[in-house]
Amino acid sequence: MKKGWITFAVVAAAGLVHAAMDPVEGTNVVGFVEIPATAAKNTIVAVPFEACMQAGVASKLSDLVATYGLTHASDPGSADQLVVLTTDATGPIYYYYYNQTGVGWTPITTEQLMPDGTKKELTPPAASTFDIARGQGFWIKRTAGAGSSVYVKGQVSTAKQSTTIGEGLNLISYAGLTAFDLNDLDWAGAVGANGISATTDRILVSKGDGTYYTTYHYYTGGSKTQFNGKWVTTTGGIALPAADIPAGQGFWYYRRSGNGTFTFKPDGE
Amino acid sequence: MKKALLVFSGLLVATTMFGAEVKDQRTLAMSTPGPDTYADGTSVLVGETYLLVYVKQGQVFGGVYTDGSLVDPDNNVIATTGQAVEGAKCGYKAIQYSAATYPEGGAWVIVLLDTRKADGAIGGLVAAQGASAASGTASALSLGTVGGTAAAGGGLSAAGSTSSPEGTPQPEIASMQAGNGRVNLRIKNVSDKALYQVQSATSLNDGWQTVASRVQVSAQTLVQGESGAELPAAVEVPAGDTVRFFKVIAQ
Repeated sequence: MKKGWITFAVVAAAGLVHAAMDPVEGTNVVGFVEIPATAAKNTIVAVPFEACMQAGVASKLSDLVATYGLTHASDPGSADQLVVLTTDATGPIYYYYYNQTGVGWTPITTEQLMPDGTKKELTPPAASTFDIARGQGFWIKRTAGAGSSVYVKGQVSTAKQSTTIGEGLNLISYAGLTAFDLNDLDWAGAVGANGISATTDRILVSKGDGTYYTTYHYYTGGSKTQFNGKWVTTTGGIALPAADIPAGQGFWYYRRSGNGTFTFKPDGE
Repeated sequence: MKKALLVFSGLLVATTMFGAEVKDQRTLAMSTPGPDTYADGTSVLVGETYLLVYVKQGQVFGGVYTDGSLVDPDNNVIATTGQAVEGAKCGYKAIQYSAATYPEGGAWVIVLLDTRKADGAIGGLVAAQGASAASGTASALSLGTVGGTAAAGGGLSAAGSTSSPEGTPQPEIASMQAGNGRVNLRIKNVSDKALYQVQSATSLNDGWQTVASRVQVSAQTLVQGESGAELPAAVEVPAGDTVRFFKVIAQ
């Protein structure tokens, strides 16, 4: 008989109980950094990112450098340009690209004057296929116009930087995401002396327009022990760098002839 | 005494006869008094989805995934669905069912789903959920109701989170374009059963905030990229940003 009656057992439950699954984290982090690049001046930049979805892989030039805010034109002379120092079978060469209206970074064919008096046409690969490694520096050559910065972008790397530095001039940087002090990095392999020397490696940091530089020498074994293992200026007296280098800004590393090649690992092993 | 016995036996017969005809059938109605709300406090939109879920005896309602499937299909069964009507409430719906299908001893809950897409329209994946208190199974001679009464006070709120189904692949940002106060991302390794969030920060160490939510795959959103199917997601970035990072998460 009891069956015939309404039976409502109201369960004082919260109404929803379940073991929530953890969110599924993506495999990568991407980002952008704004680098000062004054109009009508040349700036050395270096990209602190790698290619999206490819850990440890160099990114393509067109993926790395955004054209947003830069001057575009139909003729190269009127547009902002990227100039990359690289090498081919003949040695160091410069690849030029300009921000072509409606297209983006477009190769410029340059004329290479050979030692034997001949001329050779040098056409860079497409910006969409040209690799730029983390820490590799290149120029942005800005025309007169609006805007004072360039955006570089890509995947945040989880690997430590490892950049080969050969004899002569190397256009590089520390591929960090914040401003840095030269002397906060690991410079194992750099060759120095106690002052200005013909054998001392040098770092040249642009003063803003790519024409004038602050020169730093690697000081080692000198009487001023507070500077040992440091990059110092020697103009008017030995001193440490006065300011940090902004994230994304590059510099010249001059490896003296005879010092051989070394691997720059700014974050250590 | 004889009369009482006759009346009693007659009643038994009547009960038996009535029970014999309908003993396999039960009936109940689902509705909510409203106003029901989403987690942000706004009223449920007309047409929003409600579920009527049977919970097996001794079990609890385990919730649903973003694709609307049950977290615990062994012990929960979606019997039917309802829709929100004017007044931000579940529209009245009566059902009948076989007692063998949903035995006595189990319980019924009404579940409010938040299926709003990024543009505010309903009909997308389930971003959030809320369930009523469980109520007992109706018997053969009763008319059951599920969903609470106005006297009980308070509407149903879709304030509970949902998760992507098991097996959802790890998403990956395939490319990024930046400029003009906006960043356009393309996401790879996506599932049409998952809801994605884009998070952003100015430091890799902390401060991650959600800047896009309810990003989901559809025929309209998916595009072909260099590496296959990709899901676009556009986010605004503050003017004056000099550095910013992005990552994507499947809810």
